[in-house]
Amino acid sequence: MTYAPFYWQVVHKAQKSMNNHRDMSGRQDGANAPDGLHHTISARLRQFYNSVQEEGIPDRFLQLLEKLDEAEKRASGEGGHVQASVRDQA
Amino acid sequence: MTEESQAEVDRNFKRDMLAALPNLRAFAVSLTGRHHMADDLVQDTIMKAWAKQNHFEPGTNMKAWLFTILRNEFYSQMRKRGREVGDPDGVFTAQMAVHPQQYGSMDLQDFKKALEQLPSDQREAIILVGASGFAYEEAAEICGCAVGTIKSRINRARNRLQEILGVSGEGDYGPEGNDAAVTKRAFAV
Repeated sequence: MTYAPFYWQVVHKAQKSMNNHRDMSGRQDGANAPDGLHHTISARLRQFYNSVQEEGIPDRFLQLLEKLDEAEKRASGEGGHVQASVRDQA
Repeated sequence: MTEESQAEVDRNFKRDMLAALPNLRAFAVSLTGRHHMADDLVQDTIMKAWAKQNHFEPGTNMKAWLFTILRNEFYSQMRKRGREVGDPDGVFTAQMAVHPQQYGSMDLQDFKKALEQLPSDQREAIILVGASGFAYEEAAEICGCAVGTIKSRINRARNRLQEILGVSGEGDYGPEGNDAAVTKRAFAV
């Protein structure tokens, strides 16, 4: 989606000044502000975050958990050696 | 505690850890801005959590516990590596080009870049509350600071993100609700 740069300048500038104005109006808790600008930032943050979450769990972590599990079963009692040996294998 | 219930505790521990991993990994990626570094961080966190599983109290918040471990690990590595990790404007931005294909749209890439320009204390605060699903109080506990501090960091983070991104969101999300009203008013000025 593309817009003429002029469009952006107008919108950006106007909204920035509106934003400043709002901040001067004495609103205390901006983090909870239900206004559209904050909503947009929040929505984009969640969209970005969800896109990573939806990548799922990489195999290396499933394998790591399995190895930790096996190593723990094999070497119960050896304590700290378990982690070192798993790390070497990984 | 009997042997049997200990086995059950172990199973639950592993299950809960697995369930939290996608969220934990998204936090790591958001925090570091790099998939490779994030995955190494998640791996270190799994190892640490596994080693400390006896310290975890079953029934308490596994997610918050894991996030705390990961966060501590991140800052400890950051201190060890010095500016390599602590320079959001330089290194983070340069690393951006490594994985552009991992973000479907330009919009997400822009947002990622903007996020990386925030100081890390602001970045983690807005991520934990705005995306990871923690309450202010939980985020404060994870970060080891006051609730008010978290709120003010989030506030500053939002303002800074708006500044960096302009207010381009209404174009990307369609003219709905307040955004549409803002656009109209902007043109009336």
